[in-house]
Amino acid sequence: MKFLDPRLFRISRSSRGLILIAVLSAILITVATIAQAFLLAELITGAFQRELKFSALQNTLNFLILVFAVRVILTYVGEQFTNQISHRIRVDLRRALFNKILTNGAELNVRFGPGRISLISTKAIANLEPYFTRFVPQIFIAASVPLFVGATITYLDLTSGLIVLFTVPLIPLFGVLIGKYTSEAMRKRWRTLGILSGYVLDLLSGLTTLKLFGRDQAQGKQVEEVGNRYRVETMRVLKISFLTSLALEIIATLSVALIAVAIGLRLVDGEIELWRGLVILILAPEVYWPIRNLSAQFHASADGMQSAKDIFEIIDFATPKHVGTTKLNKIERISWSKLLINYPNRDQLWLPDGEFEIGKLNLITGPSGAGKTTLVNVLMGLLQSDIGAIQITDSKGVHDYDAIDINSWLENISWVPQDPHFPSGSIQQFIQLSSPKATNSEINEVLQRVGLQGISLNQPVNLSVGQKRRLAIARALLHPHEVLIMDEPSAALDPESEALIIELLRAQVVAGKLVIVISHRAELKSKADKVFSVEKVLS
Amino acid sequence: MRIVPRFFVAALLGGISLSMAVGLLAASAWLISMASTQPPILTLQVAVVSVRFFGLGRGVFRYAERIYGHDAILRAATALQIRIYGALLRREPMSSQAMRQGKLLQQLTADIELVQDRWIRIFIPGISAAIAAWAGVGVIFWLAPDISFIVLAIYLITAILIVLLSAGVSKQHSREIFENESALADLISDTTRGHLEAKIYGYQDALRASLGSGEAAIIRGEKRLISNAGGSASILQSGMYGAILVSFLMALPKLENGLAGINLAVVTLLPLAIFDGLAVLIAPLANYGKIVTAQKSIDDVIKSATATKAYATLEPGTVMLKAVSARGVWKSKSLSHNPVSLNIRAGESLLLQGESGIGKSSLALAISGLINYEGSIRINGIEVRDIRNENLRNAMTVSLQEDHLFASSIFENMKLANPDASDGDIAAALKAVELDELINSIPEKMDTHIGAFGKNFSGGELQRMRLARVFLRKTPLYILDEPLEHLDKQLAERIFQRLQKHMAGATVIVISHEKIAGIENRLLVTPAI
Repeated sequence: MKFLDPRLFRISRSSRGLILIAVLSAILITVATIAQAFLLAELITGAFQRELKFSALQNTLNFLILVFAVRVILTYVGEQFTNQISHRIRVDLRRALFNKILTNGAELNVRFGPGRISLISTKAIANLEPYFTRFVPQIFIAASVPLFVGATITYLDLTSGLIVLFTVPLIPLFGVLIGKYTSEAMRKRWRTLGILSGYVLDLLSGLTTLKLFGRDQAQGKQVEEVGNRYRVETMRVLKISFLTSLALEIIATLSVALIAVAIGLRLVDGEIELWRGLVILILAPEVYWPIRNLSAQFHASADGMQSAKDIFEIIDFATPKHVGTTKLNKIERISWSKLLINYPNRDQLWLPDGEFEIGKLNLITGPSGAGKTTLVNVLMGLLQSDIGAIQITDSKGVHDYDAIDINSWLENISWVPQDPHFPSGSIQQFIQLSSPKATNSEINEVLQRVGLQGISLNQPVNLSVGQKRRLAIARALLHPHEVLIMDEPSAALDPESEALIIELLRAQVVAGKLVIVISHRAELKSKADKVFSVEKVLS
Repeated sequence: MRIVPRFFVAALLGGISLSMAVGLLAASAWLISMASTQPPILTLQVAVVSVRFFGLGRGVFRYAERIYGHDAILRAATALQIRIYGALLRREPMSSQAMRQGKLLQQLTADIELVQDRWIRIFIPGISAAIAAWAGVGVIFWLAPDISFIVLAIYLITAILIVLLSAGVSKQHSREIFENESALADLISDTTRGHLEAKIYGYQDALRASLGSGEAAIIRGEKRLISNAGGSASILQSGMYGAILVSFLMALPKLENGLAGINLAVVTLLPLAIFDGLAVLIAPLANYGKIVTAQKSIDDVIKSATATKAYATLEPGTVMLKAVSARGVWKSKSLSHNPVSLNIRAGESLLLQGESGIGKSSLALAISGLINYEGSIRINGIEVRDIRNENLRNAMTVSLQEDHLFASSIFENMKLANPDASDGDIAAALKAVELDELINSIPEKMDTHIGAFGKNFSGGELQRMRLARVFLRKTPLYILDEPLEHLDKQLAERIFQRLQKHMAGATVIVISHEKIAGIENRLLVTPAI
């Protein structure tokens, strides 16, 4: 059983602080627990057996109040610190994740899928909260309190000490045994649960479709059915885990009862003093509970460890390093040969050889699903081809793709994706994100060129699909570039707007840019100078 | 989530378990004190047996409470999901954009999980703690009534303070943190889609800055939350220690008149067990703000559903459609096109053209009766909004651009369009959209899983699957929204010819920004000024 992931320390310095606080408070809690037991026993035996008056007990009482006060302060301060530190660790992890997404988002998307990435960056990070604030401090308490309390008990009474020595190991032993026996079953069940909970989300997403086919009522019954299956499966998981903690609790309780009864019987025979018995009685549960609590929180720990694992799977995901250093000058031509793409769930895709150059309106066309977008992604360096080569020609000569500085290549590209990304904000803010120096008149001029004249710059970007596409084109035009790549720029546009887009593209060609367009529209095809056809060649 | 009797049963079981912990402490303290007076061994037997009984009973009842409570809460969660599903059925469909992002639904499922905490982590353990407190105070009352009153008073003050601090003061902060956290989650999932544009257009630093300011807001809120509510655990401890000290000091003078010495340990130590039940409440109470927010957004979804009314029956047969100054109306979106008037006789076809994003699809949704509309839309003379839903569904086939493909097999997705379709029908429909070869070439054929949001297939292939569903339905009216988008020209033409054959004799509306061979009748939708 692994409790702490060493990688956490590497990413977050704050986690060292967490450990320090946890160790310190574990030591103080141990001392306070033992002192408290002695003082309470002294008070009770003093009053009951020796029939001491209040004045004689005053000192002991003062000490006890002091110990109580120390524990209260310890709790308050400890909680403050662990919460703050836990938060800082989560901030560090979130930042590391975010940076990884910014630099290697494309590879991550292919490998994990956008859904999983956002799930990890929200749920996994949230899962770490109980792990850091409750579980981690508990580890150190479980390591310290039972050891010293057990030693104290042994010192006071050898018999009780021996009982402790023989019973304490039973808790982790049974914990591990039961855990081993059930872990495979648990894993399977959790997987089923994941599938079931995804089902309802999918059903809700498809509600309009269900309504249109008149199937909404029939599927409604399924919600209940799936809900019931989910409950039955969850209860199976919970029964195992609750039974585990019941077993551990019974071991702990029986051990304490064993000690109490043994002390009681020897008290009757006068073999042990009452104060010893009381101290041991008060202390005995403290040996077992921290260990039991830790074992019971095994799931919090498993959740936390799994979350850490998921997060590091992304942060440490080995992405191919692009080591090229050649800076590009005026780009003239791009060519490629023998490109092969491996899809995770499907076949391989061969892309035919080809080249694009400046002075032409270059078009990529082909049937749906043939790999048009894939080709562009490979050319931009978003996807890696398993074999094959790409060459870029600039004013200084021909460069192998691997030799160029990838950033100097990307800086030269203006790109209009099929589904442009719009951070929230106004149109002006959106444009200024990519072109901070653009003046309002420049922005207005470009908006006019793409057919968005008369639109207010302060308007938020929640526009219609067609308007958004044109806004994305406007952004691309404002951004200084040598290469202009557009993925289906005229999809969802009417013929007039399409003509406008073609005119814009032509102007870019004349201006000496390398212009590459993906489209299957007849109109664009007839206007292109060079058509590159991607046919489906699945092997 | 509604309160159900099962919650009380679970709370009772939990209360018994905690009361047994009280009993365990009392019995062991009495056992040791009594033993020290060296009585005949038999007088101790009862106590020895009680210690074992309470010790085992505590664990067993705790187990029963957890099993019963979780079962109850999962039942309640299913009931809630059914209510939400029902409410969403009656509500107007989500706009295509909200749909694509799916954030709303993910938030909803997270909320459903969160509101369960109110019952399983606050209500049930809270009542259990109260039951155990009464049991413990009862034991003290039996030994020394006046001490029990003071202990009870301290207990109540502690409990009220904890609730006020966590649930009251921290509510606002924890809601703020919750909102900031979900804004950050949005930012991250947004960036997952837009990271390359950020790189190419050089605004990575702007995104980093918004992450930073979101984090700063969370840390600020967290600091306030901790300094306000972080004291809950220490308040609990103070209350418990205070009760121990007070019990001891009050019991001391009584030793001379009335209180048996052997009960001193019992009275002094019992507050430990009495206050114990409150400890588990602290963490969930600090989350109370989040729970309330989640509950509210669920209530909003359920409330926003519109009521049902009496509907007219549409006779089966051919369909003619007449719209006068009509346009679809979304609750959340402004109007973007001029009202449309059209008149299609049975068996005629119409091509609806117009600028993208202008609201042609909204018009289609209005005709299909899924969203409200202005003006009048009549099928065979009856207003669409008055027609019984089943009649409407049987009268028309609607294919939208965003039609959902469910995360199940191709076969099941086809069956959805027509539950009576035979395997042969489905094979024929897939052949009509020329997917038969591809599907036969993959190992699991029609049982192939489409994957969440169709991730195993390309956009064009998914569009053809949507069209295959149209081939499975024979209805007097068809409304097809951009049916040939994502398809290359030759393929589109071949498929559309087959579609026309399939729809022969029916009334057809096609929405497209391109001309479509074979449909002469055209209507241009113009933008509103």
